[in-house]
Amino acid sequence: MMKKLNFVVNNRKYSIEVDPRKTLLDVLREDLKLTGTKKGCGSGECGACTVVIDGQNVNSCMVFALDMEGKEVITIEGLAPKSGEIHPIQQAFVDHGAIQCGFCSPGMIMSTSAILEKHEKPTEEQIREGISGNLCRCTGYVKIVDAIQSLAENK
Amino acid sequence: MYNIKKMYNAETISDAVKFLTDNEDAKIIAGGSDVLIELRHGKLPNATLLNIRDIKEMQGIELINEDIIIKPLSTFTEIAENQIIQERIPMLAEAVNTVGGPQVRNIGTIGGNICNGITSADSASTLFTLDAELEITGPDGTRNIHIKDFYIWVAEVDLKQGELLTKIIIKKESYENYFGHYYKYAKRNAMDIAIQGCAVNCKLSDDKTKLENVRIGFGVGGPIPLRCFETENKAKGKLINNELIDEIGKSVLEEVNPRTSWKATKEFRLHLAQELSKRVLREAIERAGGHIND
Amino acid sequence: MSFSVVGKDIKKVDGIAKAKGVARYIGDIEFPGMLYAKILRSPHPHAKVLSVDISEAEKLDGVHAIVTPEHQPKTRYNMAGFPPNAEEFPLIEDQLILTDHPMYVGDPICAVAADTEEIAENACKLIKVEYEILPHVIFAEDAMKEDAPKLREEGNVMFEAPIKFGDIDAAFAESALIVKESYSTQKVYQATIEPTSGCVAMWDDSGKLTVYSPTQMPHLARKIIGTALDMRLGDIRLIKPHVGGGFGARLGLVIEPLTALLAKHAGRPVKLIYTREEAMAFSEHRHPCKMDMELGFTKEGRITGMRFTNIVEGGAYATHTPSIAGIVGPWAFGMYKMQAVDYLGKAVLTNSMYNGAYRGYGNPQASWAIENTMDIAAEKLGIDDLEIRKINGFGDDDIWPWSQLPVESSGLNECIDKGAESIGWHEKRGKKLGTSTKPRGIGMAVSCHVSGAKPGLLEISGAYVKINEDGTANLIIGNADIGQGSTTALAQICAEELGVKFEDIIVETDAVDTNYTLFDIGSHASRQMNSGGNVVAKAAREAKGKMLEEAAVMLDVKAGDLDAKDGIIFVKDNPTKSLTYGEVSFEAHFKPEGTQIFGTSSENPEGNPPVYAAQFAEVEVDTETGVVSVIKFVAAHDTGVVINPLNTTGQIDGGAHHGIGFALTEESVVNPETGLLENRDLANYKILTAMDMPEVVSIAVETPAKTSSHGQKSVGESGLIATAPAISNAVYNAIGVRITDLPITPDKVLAALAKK
Repeated sequence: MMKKLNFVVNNRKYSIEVDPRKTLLDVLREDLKLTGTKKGCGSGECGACTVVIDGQNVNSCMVFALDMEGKEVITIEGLAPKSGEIHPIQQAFVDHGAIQCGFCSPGMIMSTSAILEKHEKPTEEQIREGISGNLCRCTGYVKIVDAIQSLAENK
Repeated sequence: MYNIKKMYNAETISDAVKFLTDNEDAKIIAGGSDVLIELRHGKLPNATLLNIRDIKEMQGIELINEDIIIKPLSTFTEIAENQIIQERIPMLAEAVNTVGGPQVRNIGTIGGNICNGITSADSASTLFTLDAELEITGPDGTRNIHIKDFYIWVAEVDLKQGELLTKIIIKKESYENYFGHYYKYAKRNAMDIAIQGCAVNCKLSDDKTKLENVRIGFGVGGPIPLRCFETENKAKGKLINNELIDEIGKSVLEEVNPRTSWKATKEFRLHLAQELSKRVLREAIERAGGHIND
Repeated sequence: MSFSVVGKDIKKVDGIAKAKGVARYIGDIEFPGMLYAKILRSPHPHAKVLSVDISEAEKLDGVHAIVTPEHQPKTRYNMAGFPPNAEEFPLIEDQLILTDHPMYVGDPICAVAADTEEIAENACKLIKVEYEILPHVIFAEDAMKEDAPKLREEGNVMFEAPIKFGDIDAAFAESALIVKESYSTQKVYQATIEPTSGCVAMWDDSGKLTVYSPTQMPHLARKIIGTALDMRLGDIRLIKPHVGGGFGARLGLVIEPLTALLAKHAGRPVKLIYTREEAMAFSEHRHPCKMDMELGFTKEGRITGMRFTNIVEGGAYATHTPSIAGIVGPWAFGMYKMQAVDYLGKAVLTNSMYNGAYRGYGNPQASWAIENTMDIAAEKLGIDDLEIRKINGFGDDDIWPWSQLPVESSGLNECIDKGAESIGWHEKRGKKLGTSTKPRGIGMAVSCHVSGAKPGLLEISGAYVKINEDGTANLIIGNADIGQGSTTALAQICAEELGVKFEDIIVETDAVDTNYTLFDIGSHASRQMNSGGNVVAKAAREAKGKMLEEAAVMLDVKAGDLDAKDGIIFVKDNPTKSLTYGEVSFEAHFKPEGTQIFGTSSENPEGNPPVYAAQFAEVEVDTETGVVSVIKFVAAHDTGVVINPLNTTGQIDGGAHHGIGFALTEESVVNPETGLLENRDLANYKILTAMDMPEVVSIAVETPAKTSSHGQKSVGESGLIATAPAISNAVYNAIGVRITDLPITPDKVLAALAKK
């Protein structure tokens, strides 16, 4: 039985009927067709599906969609202000070679946005802790940390 | 998409108690970080879920007459960043900061961590050494028990039909002048489950030379978290020195009972229990202003 | 040589699409009417299927097709992406799409396509399969025993690879020292963050098949699908979307034939995406090896000879196992000069999920054995660790025994020197570092690797460069960029050779399409820069030559007087006399006898220059808990001329992540009763987080290759090969005990310390 869900995704209000058995990840990918949020495990172990909910980074596979009632969700698609534009975090990741296969990147970038929300100028330790829930197999995190540090320095 | 039969969102404790009373098989879900994994692994087929995350009375951290009241829906992040906790029982902030990664800590709740009944829960051994009291609310009102009596067996806690955990209380006398430390031993520094977890909370004599009181707790020391009461009693009032630390390290071995799994052998977990208890005790003593003579 | 595009930090061509989340991976691909598939797998490690009853499952609402072993062609195939000339490795074709004789827990018996994954899964539960349980064996050592259940008529050792040269007895007789040691390496998982694997397949009414596959080798994948389905290759169109990491896990097929079979029966597009648990339990991991090595030395430290045996646990089907058994030996004797070798590799069948390709392809195993052995020898001979490696290394003019082709250029010594300087080797080695309960040590190891698989395997690549009317150029290549950035680097080579700006090259990483690209063997053996670079350069040069000819007519000069840079074609002696690429290409297209200018190339590269690396680790060992922590890690790699510095060091950084995990925390644990993977999730399989990775310093040493287009060599796989022995040697340096069976876990460290 479908249930009503009212929430805001990427600054846009949605009032949709959703299957209560679905996770936020399912609804983002299947119902809203926002496939930028990736599914790497489905059990909160890899961070590929990270989105920001009310300012905090959360694995979207770990919450039921209906729990998003009244909440504000930002996904990778909503980070840049307009289509055709690129957010400074995204640009920093590209410029520093922090993206290889790209599958962890949306989640990693959303965690970065949560780090920068929490810390004005994060230390390397805070950066590493902040992305510790996002696994990457390509970069050894070296250039990801570089990219985030460049953002901290430019603040 | 998970195979669930029904999900009910409770808005008050009494609402939740009523639902639990009426639905014997209901599973409580709060943050969801454990329940969704169980659902994924097919451990809760056709589940009836009681969602309690909107219950306002179960949110927040308060100080009442210097007793710390942690409501069970407090997330790990909220606890780690809370001033009351940081100032009075920093070891709890330290312990919950070792849970998973930031995403999990942002949704996972301390109530869920306890009620799960899992021995490796990072908050549990610390709460054991803080002599935490749990307020359980059920159809007949509330009852308070010591956390050590709450754990019965693996994934089995003392919640009768219709009951749920409503408060975690740490009394002033349980934490005042106590200094503690939690050490999580795992293969990774994040996103991991403890192979062994040890918490020590101690109070020193005024001249800082004796252990006036010490509490030693373990996660993964056995099927459920545990306290080493006999060791604690033996250590009480003893002069602080290396000999005492070694004695305590040996003594805890009599009280823990870990098992072998593909993740680690019993022998290795025992070795860790001994080493960690010494290491954590040292750190706790130092935090209390004590000094260990070589 | 000075280049204008090669060697520059060009941003990845697909970086923005990936950063913004618009890059489409296999899971993001949807078509109208698409169905979703699930597989019913054998719960038994070895059994015969007596009957399959799908009647209840078929009745389930939303089920569109169920395939059983009866529905498939009877042609057996091999999942591994080998070209057909694999002379040195027998290509044992022993697999069917579905089986009625399951050989491991998880062997696919049936599959269902339904409106949703949930329905497909429920349908699988309604299929009744009757089994006759057969005796099974899980581990290679047990499978080699006389009384072991025979998994094949020919026996459980499916292939033996003896390699001998020189007189080993004579070599050992004249040795001042023979070091003899046993080693083992564990099964490990590639752990691509996009789970391996997924597939979308659909048929049109004329019997043509389109397959979307996140593969490392689009053309070879198409070929194997053709074999498995008995089809003409031209009737199969394979499209590779963006791929979330490869590391060998996509070196061949996973579920493409099955998805195609289901789509055929359903008459609709079918999508099959593995869950993380399926991806872990039912895709190929690195082969565990049990190795015995004897290495002889003169008193000066020169290696005389090597005796080396290696038992490779293959799992239930052949795939890559014979090849791995054959190649571990050559990796070892490819590292150092030796006059005599006696190697024997054995490929063993067992009843567990089969193992396959993983970054390094047998080399990490070989390196584990030989680089620990070198460390032991250096100590016994009283020779510096760096020196013993240098005196045994190959020179530029040597023939490299791995390939029987020239070494071309060796940067080994420079790698050793630069790495040593960065880690502080000379200041720290031999000093007591750390505290009594947390001693520190430093260690190092070296490695060699290939820039392709030549001559063992075909090396053909193809490129097609077409100049558009406005002077922009499309580079069309069948190379599979799986995140490493090969397409960006190849586009740099293209721009360099055409003499245009990088941004005027249009190239796609997400639509490698076998219908429109020339044949390419794929992204394996670290070959794209050498082999891909060769054909891209040649195709671009051909196109540029035609452009210059066209411009020569327009400018009334000789083509030989012209050159191009940044999209301007100019007279070399008088650069102001010039035309743009756009002006020339427009004229070429639209003059009365107009034609589009293009260049193509399809060939094998001339050489296979080996790459060398020296890796250094500083570790701290907690002697009370046994925990080994890497404090600093330095990797100096001879990459040849660097095409793209960011991408190059990025590969080395990433290799360190795999290598340190391999050394310390990663292990695919196989259940001894069932053969099923115990830790089939990322909570229990421990790849390192950002809080676990030490400081990593990646250094590129640019010793130019002689045969490649711009002096480049490879860097894809080499990052992790020397890592585990470098850490092991550092652990030995810290605590004086050596762990010879990977991974170096705390319990092993404590046990070894207790025995000391």
